[in-house]
Formats: sequence, structure tokens, C-alpha cells
Amino acid sequence: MSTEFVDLLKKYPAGRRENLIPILQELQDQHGYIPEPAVSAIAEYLEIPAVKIYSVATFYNEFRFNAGGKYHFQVCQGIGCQVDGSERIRSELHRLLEIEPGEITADGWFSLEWVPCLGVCQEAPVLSVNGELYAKMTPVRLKELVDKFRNR
Amino acid sequence: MMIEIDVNGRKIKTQKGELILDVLKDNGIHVPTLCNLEGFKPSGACRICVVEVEGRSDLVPSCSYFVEEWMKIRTHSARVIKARKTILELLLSNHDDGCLSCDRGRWCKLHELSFELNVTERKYGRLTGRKKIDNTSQSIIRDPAKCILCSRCVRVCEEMQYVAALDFLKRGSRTEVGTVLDKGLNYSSCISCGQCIQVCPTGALREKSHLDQVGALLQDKAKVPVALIDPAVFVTLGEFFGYKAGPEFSSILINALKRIGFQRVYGTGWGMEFQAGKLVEMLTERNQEENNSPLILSECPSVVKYISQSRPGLLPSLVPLKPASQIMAHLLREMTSKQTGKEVSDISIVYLTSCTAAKNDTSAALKIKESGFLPDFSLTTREAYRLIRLYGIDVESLNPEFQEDFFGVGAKSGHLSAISGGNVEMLTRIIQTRVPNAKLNGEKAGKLRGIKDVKETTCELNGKKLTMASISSIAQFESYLKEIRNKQKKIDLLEVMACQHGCINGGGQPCRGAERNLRNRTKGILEWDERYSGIQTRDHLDLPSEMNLSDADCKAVFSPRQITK
Amino acid sequence: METPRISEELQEGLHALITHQQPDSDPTLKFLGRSLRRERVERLTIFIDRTTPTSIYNTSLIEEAVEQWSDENQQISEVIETGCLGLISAEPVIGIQVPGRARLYYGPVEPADIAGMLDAITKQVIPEENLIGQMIMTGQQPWEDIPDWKKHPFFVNQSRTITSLNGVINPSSISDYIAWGGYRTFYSSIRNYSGQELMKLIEQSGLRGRSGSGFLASVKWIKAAGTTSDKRYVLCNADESDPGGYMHRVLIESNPHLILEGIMLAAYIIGANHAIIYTRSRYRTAVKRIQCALGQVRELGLLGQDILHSGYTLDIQLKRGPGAFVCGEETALISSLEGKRGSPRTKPPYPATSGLFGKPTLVHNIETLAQVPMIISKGPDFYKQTGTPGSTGTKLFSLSGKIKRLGVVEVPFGTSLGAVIDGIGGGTRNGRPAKAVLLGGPSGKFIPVSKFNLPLDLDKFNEENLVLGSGSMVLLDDDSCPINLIKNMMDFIRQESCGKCIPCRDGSKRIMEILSLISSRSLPENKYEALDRFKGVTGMLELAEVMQSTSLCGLGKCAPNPLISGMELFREELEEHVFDRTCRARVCLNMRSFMVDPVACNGCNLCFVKCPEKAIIGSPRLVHYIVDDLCTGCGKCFEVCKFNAILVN
Ligand SMILES: Cc1cc2nc3c(=O)[nH]c(=O)nc-3n(C[C@H](O)[C@H](O)[C@H](O)COP(=O)(O)O)c2cc1C
Ligand code: SF4
Ligand code: SF4
Ligand code: SF4
Ligand code: SF4
Ligand code: SF4
Ligand code: SF4
Ligand code: SF4
Ligand code: SF4
Ligand code: FES
Ligand code: FES
Ligand code: FES
Repeated sequence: MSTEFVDLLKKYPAGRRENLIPILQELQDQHGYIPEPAVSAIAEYLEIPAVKIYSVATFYNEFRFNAGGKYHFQVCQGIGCQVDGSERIRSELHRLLEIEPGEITADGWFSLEWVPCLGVCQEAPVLSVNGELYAKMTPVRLKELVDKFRNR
Repeated sequence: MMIEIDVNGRKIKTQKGELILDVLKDNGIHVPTLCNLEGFKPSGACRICVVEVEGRSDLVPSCSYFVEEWMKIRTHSARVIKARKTILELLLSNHDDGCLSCDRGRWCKLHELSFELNVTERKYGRLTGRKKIDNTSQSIIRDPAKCILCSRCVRVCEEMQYVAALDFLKRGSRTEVGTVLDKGLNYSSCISCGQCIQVCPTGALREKSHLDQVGALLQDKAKVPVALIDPAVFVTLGEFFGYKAGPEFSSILINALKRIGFQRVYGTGWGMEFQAGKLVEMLTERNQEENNSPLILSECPSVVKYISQSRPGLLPSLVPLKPASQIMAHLLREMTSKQTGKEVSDISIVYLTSCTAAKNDTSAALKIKESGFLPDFSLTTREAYRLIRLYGIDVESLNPEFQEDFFGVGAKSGHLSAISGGNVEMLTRIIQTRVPNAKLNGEKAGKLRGIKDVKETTCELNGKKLTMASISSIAQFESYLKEIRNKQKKIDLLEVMACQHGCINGGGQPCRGAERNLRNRTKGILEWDERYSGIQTRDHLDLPSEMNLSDADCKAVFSPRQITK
Repeated sequence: METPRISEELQEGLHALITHQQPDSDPTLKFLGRSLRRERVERLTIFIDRTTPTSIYNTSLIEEAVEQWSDENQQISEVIETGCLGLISAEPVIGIQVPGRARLYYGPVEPADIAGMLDAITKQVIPEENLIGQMIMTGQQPWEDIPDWKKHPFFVNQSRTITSLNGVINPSSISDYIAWGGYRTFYSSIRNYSGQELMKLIEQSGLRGRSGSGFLASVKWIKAAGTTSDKRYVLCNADESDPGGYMHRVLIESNPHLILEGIMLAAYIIGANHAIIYTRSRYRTAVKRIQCALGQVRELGLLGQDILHSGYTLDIQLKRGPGAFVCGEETALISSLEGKRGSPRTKPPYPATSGLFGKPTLVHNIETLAQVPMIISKGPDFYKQTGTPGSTGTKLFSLSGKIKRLGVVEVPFGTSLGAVIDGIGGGTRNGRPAKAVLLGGPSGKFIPVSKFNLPLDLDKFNEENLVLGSGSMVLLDDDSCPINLIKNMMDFIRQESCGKCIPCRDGSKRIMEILSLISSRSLPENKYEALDRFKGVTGMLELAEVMQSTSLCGLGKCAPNPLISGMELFREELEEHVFDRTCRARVCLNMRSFMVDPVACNGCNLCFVKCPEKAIIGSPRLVHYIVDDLCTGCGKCFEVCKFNAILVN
């Protein structure tokens, strides 16, 4: 087994499938994504077929196999924001970045994700970039924001 | 407990604990299914098998609900029919339904259902685009655009083959079936057994076709095409033309292939026995020393692949002999070359086989010029049928034909190798006929026959007891290995076939082969054996002196294979 | 997150508060309790709400402002972190308390206001701007002429029981919770009563599940306790995957120990030694709060082997859900905990008999479990006084959408919908007419204004074939387009379905597509589009019905609810979308038409520059013009025009 992930894996008992998600979460926290070689390492350690690990990881929103963009956009998908026009924000983001949720732009600058209610519905529609919240978004302000990042 | 339920207004007696679907089937009521897989736990995913149960607001999938005594079931009410039809229409809305150019075409379950449920228009969605086809493997092609996510392949690959090369990826409307890291089957743990093709209701899975290449070969005047046919194809191919499985069709097949342009047609039987003879020699020697782990037959390429990928520790246990098809390919090249005066490299061997994994071991797949021992191409039973159709051969009008030269097809117990247990039975016969003081214990062959999971037998070789066992499917293999380990069983030789019940159920056989077909094919093989094995003589295995084949030539080397990169 | 160590002395005090028969009879304990409850403070104390809804405002700036003011005025002050009172539209909310006097709550507060407010309050003058009210505790002198915070229209009709400490206590401090009587119920239960005795109380209380189904809790408890097994689990479902709800997050972030105590009691009663809280990992603050609370509980010996010498052993684990709506469904949740894809499975068997790892598992919503400590401590008879005979106790709702006062509310079952929307929530934000409420998010139904007098009662809702849901309440006014909302809900389902069964996986996709066709228009119109649209509308209901009747789990079965109820209620609007190609709420993208008001336009040229479709003609200082055929209705020009010269239709 590659020595790279040994320390992380050793924290969990071997051969116990129920630890798969916590392991993936820890990897995701550490690297920002799941490194590909980790898949076979986990498979060996937990004694489950490698494809199962990929299957589980791709099921959940949290896991990704590529590093996120330099600017990671999380757009609120909550109903509060929807009622206040988050759809316009989402379609504008589509237009500006030309990517689907879960994808990353070719230049590696931007990535996109829909997230559940961010809990600030009074300021809807909201989105967050690298954890920083932007409230009362409009397509125009969004474009300005993207341009600002692009020119940094 | 006996109970009585009401189905469509009729009383039906049944047992508590039965699945609704089974009860309906036993009573002659047909309910369509897609994801249900005989012998596996129901997944209840496709919902096409729904029925109406009085008192419930929703419809109930009959494949995964048990009957209760209070049940009043309606299997074909207007509501049920509408639901089934809508479900099918939804499936079709996502489907790349180019049936005309689809491998599965008229054998497609979806196709059949859309007739059955009277679907006459594309109700939802527009034609979907194609998706990226996985053609990384040299044997299995996956076309996700035709996949309806029924999970049958996933379950077979995991539960029967212990391979788990395929699984669901993503979720929601983006769900798909795929391999680890989306790298394709060749980089997965797939062992090319083709069992997934067998259970797939659509054209999403198919073999990598060599038909075009074979077509070109048949037109090439410089080449001498030779057909090499394995016994499973002999007994099965006739099914397509309405023949009963058995010896009948085999001699017609020879005639058909000759008309298509094959200059010579042989079976693999002789090679099987030849290799078995070598194995007996090995066993005789091996018996001298103490040996703990059993020798494992290496005749099945999927088993070899499985071991080299997932159980490399067992590599030394594999019988170090080339498969019979390769020995035959080599000998036939030499012999035909002598007889026709053509170069050995101009003799092209086309291997007709029920095995999808055989495609991996062809020079076409490995893209090598000097074939050496490898067949050039391989065609599955299904492809062989297409070839005959393509060349406009009307098999009904053909006479049986035999090819009675040295490697002739109509003989010997080599045929038995197509069924699980057959290799061991063949071995015991060879031991009996060739080894002066061998004895077959406990009456024998019977124990090895029939559709059973594990078959064990013993015989005496040079005064030593030899224990042999036959199993099929990798799941059986794994659990048997465990049993050997746990119970400290001493087994000398293990025949493992990746396909359940053996090559007659290979991945290249007609799809949707029901249990009944397998029984018939097994019977066909035995019938064939009965008819011809009388010809068997003690020395038919000796090579004619003009041909040479050293022990080194027969040897095979196995090495571990790394899969996920 | 590391747990703040609790000093040994305090630990002793806390143990005494938990275990003493009558803590108030012991002067030291009474004093300790009062201090910990902050009935008495020694210095100026500022309480700042630090739950997620405040994350958008830089609350550390408020803290800095407090510090700066204290330095400048040579005052000693203390800042305490709290949970959320529930009135989220007034965030950031802070409390200010000077020694001896009642606590004052304000919101929304800007850092710049702080100095002025503190100046005034320390001089005993109460600024009334943004004042929510005063909170008077025992032994405090109330402020004159200042309303009690409970009189605030947002709170006056609430019945705060499980949320009673929200926004009052420090959620990261176990001593706060204990000072308010926390863990005493658990302690006396494990010391003095058997599981069976306590089970009777649960049975008598009539407790019903708060996740939406309203299933009678005791049925599951008895099943789980009665199934023979070597192991049993309690599973607290805090996944809150409904995109319209946030009440559970606010509850955890404001009072995590209440949840723990509920779980501990449930575990003891059914005889489980393992419990799990499952909450989504995206709820970062909630996760931190639980981790911190678990650390403290372990430190005090309230979890672990032989808890407080009672012979009872329990451990609670926190599991973070990696994000999937469907994992709120109990069997999917269990799959996920077992390290598999979160696909639901066919029931029966129910989790109560065969759940996690095949063992009996009691799965409950976090809110249901939060009711348990009160039922046990006050007894079922007291508990049943709140609510209706069929639905006992209170229910949390989160108000969002076009509502004036947004937030988390707790009302007795049986309160009318109107009392919540118009009374507590204050009606629509801009005073526009309300259209309907969507209760229960993507699996819920619309309730029109005409039914606002309906009592929020589980049985009543069942009778009316409506969905009470888990508690998300979204108000639509006549500026909101229900068709658009339904489309978005269906899009959500399309992404969030587990993908296992055809009707849900493909049905949601097709319905979403049909609704997109209806609620948008492509330019120039494709010649088949009208046909597709009409065909779609006729097929949509049929699809919805098949989805309802054949899907495997609740997600697919309930997903068509908004559509079916919406098509009935908003027939006219739907038809306008289909036939007239207009959206009267002017929400649906591409269905609005824009024109320039020639009188108002001063030719600033901004819209010309910003229009992504180059649909505007005009040159500087001249009146501009929008070419209808090129305009996609994106609304950019409308947004940028500073002279209100763009008109929307
Ligand atoms: C699609 C779907 C999503 C659900 N999401 C949640 C959820 O987020 N939280 C929750 O407590 N229950 C959820 N449930 C209900 C659970 O399956 C389960 O019934 C509940 O946790 C039982 O708790 P209760 O008896 O306390 O209501 C969901 C059900 C379905 C079908
Ligand atoms: S899989 Fe079946 S339905 Fe699909 S294209 Fe092929 S034959 Fe037609
Ligand atoms: S079945 Fe219909 S669509 Fe297919 S080839 Fe025949 S006529 Fe054409
Ligand atoms: S060929 Fe066999 S091993 Fe490969 S995917 Fe199919 S079933 Fe699995
Ligand atoms: S490939 Fe075939 S068997 Fe596998 S899921 Fe798709 S349709 Fe089913
Ligand atoms: S059992 Fe036969 S058909 Fe199946 S993989 Fe092995 S050799 Fe091929
Ligand atoms: S209804 Fe939807 S979420 Fe539920 S099992 Fe089916 S596909 Fe999955
Ligand atoms: S932005 Fe407004 S004022 Fe300026 S040119 Fe456009 S319509 Fe006229
Ligand atoms: S609505 Fe958009 S497309 Fe139309 S004119 Fe205004 S900016 Fe241009
Ligand atoms: S809905 Fe977007 S923050 Fe709540
Ligand atoms: S056959 Fe019953 S659900 Fe698929
Ligand atoms: S499982 Fe049968 S088609 Fe989906």
C-alpha cells in the first residue's frame, strides 16, 4: 500500500466499511479533494472493491476528485433564495463561467457548487465565494464580482 | 402456511412468504420485469412490475413484496397498465434508441416490452445524444447511452463474480453505471467473463466484435482461413435456427462454415484431451511429494485473469499449461501450412467460442503480427450466428458434413470441457485409459454431472488418492477456497470456470439463456459425448511424428496484473 | 475543535446542580445557579448572537466596538456568545445587560451604533431604536416603560418550550444549560426509573414525529425496545435536508445540550448503549457545537461507562452527512452510515426492528427528541396541555420567502396558519397581497390564502390531504411565480433523487423539462416548441401521478406534491404561461418583455453597454430602444438604469 495515506487510514480499524465516509471526509478536508491514488489505498485497507469507493464518493455532494477552482462559488439553492430570484444568479453564473455545478473552468480559476440554505435568507439571494458571503446578489453585481476576480 | 389470495377476481392458493411475482408466475400470469434477476435478491428499482393491491394508495412492486392473506391483487388494471407504460416511456425518453444499428436489436428486452405495453410514440424528451462508449477493453464494450440502469450487470459482477468492476456512479438524473475513476473496463478489475452481457436487457453491453476483420479475412485470397470451434458453440449455435442443443447441428455447422469460405474446420476437443494428458503426467509426478494447495486448472482465461489481478498469491497454483485453443491454433497452422504449402503466417485461425474472455488472447486484440500460438480472431456464438446470416447460408438445406482427419471434430471426451465438471471427468477417463494402474473410485462421472455448485470426486493414481473438485463462478471459487482453508480439506486439483455451469453459459452465448436452455445444452454435450466417445482409443493423443510440440511449447507463464493506476 | 476545560471546582458545582434534590435550598448552589444563569452579572455584559444567520454580518466588529468603547470609558465589560432568539430578520441581534438590571435585546445592530447605545444605557437611558424588548429574570430590576421582549409581535404568540433557552444561553457552555436545570431529568431517570416506567410517559404524552409524517413515537419506541438484539441504536436525524428549512440548525446552534439530553433519555428508555447524531457537514457551526457539547458531556461523566454510578453506559457519536437530500430518509441515512450510497430501501423491515447494521434502531427527528426531556420532567399531563388532543406539544417552523419577519418560531400545534404568517411573521415584506404558502418544501403543498385559518394540526392536515412537512414555511406574494418555484423544486429533486428507480429519477427530469419549456421561451421560437409545450402540459399530471404511485421511497412519492397542488391552485397563471407566454409575477426568465420609457430615458447609454445580447440601440444623449426580437429578457438593462427608464411587462 502506498505509504502516503497510511497515517490517515491507521486511525480507523481496517476492514470496516462504515468508516468509508469519515475517511473520505478527512481526505477531502486535508486536500480539498480526494486524490485518485487514495481510492485503491482505501479499497485495500477497508477490503472493499475500488469501484464501490468511487461509487459512494460520487454519490455525495461533498466529495470531488479535482481540486476546486481558485474561486469556489457556492450558490444557495434554498427556497428563500429561490423566491428572491436566485435562479437569475444561477443562470448568469452558467453564462459567465460556462460550467455545471461540480465542474471547474478550464483555466482552473472558478468552480461552482449549489448548496443548501446558507441561513441568511433575509439577505437573499446569497452566494459565497471561498467562504465569504455575498448578499442581495443581482446578475449585474455578479458580473462585477466575477470580473473583479478575473482581474486580480 | 397455506393462504388464499385474490388475483384479478380469482382465488389463488399459495404459501405465506412467497413473493407476489413468483405466485403470479406459478399461476400463469405474466408481469413484465426489468431489474429482477433470478437467483438474486430483488432490488425493486425499475418499478415496471407494479401491481395494484386493494387498500393501498400506491402501487406495489410485485418482485419485492410478499403475499399476505388479505391481499386482493389486480395485475392488469387500467391504472397499473398506465403506470407500466409511463415507466417504460420514461426509460425510452432517456434512451438512444437506434434499434436498427443496435447489437441487441431483436433480442432486446426493452424492445420487447415496448411492443408488449403498446408504446407507439416517443412521448417524453427528444432523442438523446450519444455518450462516450467504453471500448478500452478488448472483450467487452459498454455503451452508456443504451443503459437503463437496471443494475443487473452490477449485481452479477459483484455477487456472482466477486469482481465488482461496475457500479452506479453519481446520483439523481445523472446516475450512470461505470468503472472506478471512470477509467474504463480495461483499467478495472473486470475479468472479461461477459456474464454482464448475458444479463443486460439492452444493448448497453456487448462483445468487441471481430466480425469485420473475419469478413475481410475471408475475402483475402492470400490467406487460408481455418475455423476452430469450441464444443459450447457446437451444441448451442443451432438454438438460433431452432435446433435442439446437441450433436445434430454440429455437422451442419461444419458444412455452413465451409460454404462461407473456411478451408478447414476443427473442434478444440483434441487439444483439450492432449493438455489433459500432459496434466496427468504432471499429477503423476506431483503426487510423489506433499503439496498443500490444489492445482488450479488454467483453461478458463477469466479465472486466470482473476487470479493474476486479485489473488496473485495463487499464481503458482495455476496449471502451467497453455489453453487447448492455443495448442490447437499452433498445430493447425503447422499442419495446414504443410498441407497447402502456404506460409504458417498465412494460415489464419478464427476461434469460434462461447467465451468473451478468449478475445483478449487473440493476435487481433494484442495487435501482434506473429500470432505464434494465439488464434488470430475470435467470434462469440452470437457473432458466429451473424456470420452465417451475413453469408446467406440457409442451414435447413445443408447436409451434415464431417471432417475426419486427425483433429476431426466428431470425437472424444474433450467436448465435456464445455460443462462444469467436464474437465475433471475427462481427466479421470484419461487416467483410466492411460495410466496402467489407475482406478476411478466410487462411480465417478455421475457425481460430476448435473447442475450443482460444487462437485467433488476422487480417483486413484499410482496407488495414491487424488481428490478433484469442480466449481463454477468466482463467488463459488472464493467460498470454496475458504472452505478448503477452514476445513483443512485436501484437494489436489480444482477445476474453476468463471461462468456458472461452465462455458455453455459463457458470455458469448445467446443472451437471455434461461435455466432451461442451460439444462438442454448440458444434455446436448452429454449426448454428444455418448455418441462419439466410443471411438476413443488409448493412443489417440499421441502426436503424429511429423509434427513437433515440445513440452516447453505447451508451458504457460503467468504473472500478476496491476489494475487501478 | 478543542473543548474548553472545565475547572474541577466548577465540575463539582455542576454535578451538584444536576444531582442535588433541590439545588435552590442550598445557598451556595443557588448562588452558583443564579450567576451561571446570569441573573446577576458583575459588569456590563454584551450578548452577541453568533449563529450562522449572523455570519454575513461581521459580528466581530461589534465585539471590537464593545472593547473599544470599554477601553475608552474605562469600563470592564464582558462579551458572551449566544444562540439565536429566532428573529432572523433582525440579525445581528445583541443583548445588553448592566448589573442589577434586566437584559435588553436589540437588532439589527451595526457596529457603529454600539458606542452610542452603550453610552446611553450605562447612563440608564434606553435607546428605543431597533429595540426588541427587555428580558427580566428573577432578582433583576426591570426598565421602566420598556416592553418585555415577549410582547414583541414576533414572540407574543409563540410558545417557546424547546426553544426557550435559544438566544438566552451560551450554546458552547454546558454550565449554562445545567444552570437552567439541564441534565437533571436524565440523571434522575437513570437513577430512579426503569426504561419501562419512562416508556409509559412517552406513550401517554402522545408524542408524534416532527419530521412530517407525524408518526406516533411510542409505536417505534416499543418496537425498538421489544426486539431482542445484542445491540440497539438511537439515531438522531438532524440532516435537515429540506431546502426551505433552517429551524433544526438554529436549534442545534442555540442549544445543543437539549438535543443530547433528549437522545440520552431515548437511548436509556429503549435500552440502547449507542446513539448517533447525523447532521450535514455543511452545517459547520452546528457540527462544531455538537462536538463541543459532546466533549463537555464526556468530561462531566454524563456519557461513557457507568454514567454517574447508575450502571448505565452510553456513547453518542457525531456523524457528518456528506450532502444528499435523500439521506434524510431513514433507510438512506442508515445506508450512508454503513458506508454505502445513500439509497433508500424497501420497507418493511422498518428500522425499529432492523436498522443500522441490522439492529433495532430508533430513528427520530432532532425536534422530536428535543421534546423528550420536557415530557419526562413535567409529565405527560402537563405536556398534553399544549397543542391539540391529536397533536400534542409544540412545533417549530422556519419562515422564509416574502415574509416580513423572518425566523424560527415555535407554536403549539393547532395554531392557525394565518396566526403564524400574518401575526408572527407580519405578513408580506412589502405589504403586497400574499398568494400562498408552501409548507414542507420540495415535498410539500401550496396552501392558498383562503385556507390561512386552517389549524396547524397533524390530523386536520391529513384530513384535508395537505402536508404539514418538517416545518419550512415559504410565503409567496403576488411578485412570486409559483410555476417557477415548482420548476426549481423539481430541478432540485432531479439532482437529489438517489437515482435508483425510474419514476423518480426520470420522471423528475421530464417534469422539470416540461416546466422549463413552459416557463421560458427561446428566441426565435422553435417550430416544435409550442407542440412540445402543449403535449408536455397534458402529460405532466399523468407523470406526476405515476411518480407518486410507483416511486420506491418518500422522496419520489412526495416530489409531485408542489406540482399537483400548484396546478390546481394556480391554473390561471399556468395557462398564462402556456398560452399567453407571460409570467404575471415577472419572475420567469426570458418571459418578461422590456421597453424603454422615452420620457424617462436620458440617453446615458449604460444599458446599451451592459446588454449581453446587443438588443439595445441608441447613442449617447438620445432615447434608447430595445429590439424585442433580440431581447432575451435577462433584465440587465432594468437593473442598471439609474433613471427608471426601463419598463417591465
Ligand atoms: C426524502 C426524505 C427526506 C427526509 N428528510 C428528513 C430530514 O431531513 N430530517 C428528518 O428528521 N427526517 C427526514 N425524513 C423523514 C425520515 O425518514 C424519518 O421518518 C424521520 O427521521 C423520523 O423521525 P420522526 O419520527 O421524529 O418524525 C425524510 C424523509 C424523506 C422521504
Ligand atoms: S437497446 Fe434495445 S431499445 Fe435500445 S437501441 Fe438497442 S434494441 Fe433498441
Ligand atoms: S420498425 Fe419502423 S422504424 Fe424500424 S426500420 Fe422498420 S419501419 Fe423503420
Ligand atoms: S465481463 Fe465479467 S467481470 Fe467484466 S464487468 Fe462483466 S461481469 Fe464483471
Ligand atoms: S449495462 Fe445493461 S445490465 Fe447494466 S445497468 Fe445498464 S442496462 Fe442494466
Ligand atoms: S467458463 Fe468458459 S466461457 Fe466462461 S470465461 Fe471461462 S472459458 Fe470463458
Ligand atoms: S423514489 Fe427517488 S430517492 Fe427514492 S429510491 Fe426512488 S430514485 Fe431513490
Ligand atoms: S440606462 Fe436608462 S437612461 Fe440610460 S440609456 Fe438606458 S434606458 Fe436610457
Ligand atoms: S433584458 Fe437583457 S437582453 Fe433584453 S434588452 Fe435588457 S439587457 Fe438586453
Ligand atoms: S434560502 Fe438562501 S440563505 Fe436561506
Ligand atoms: S422487476 Fe420489480 S422493480 Fe424491477
Ligand atoms: S432497475 Fe430495472 S431498470 Fe432500473
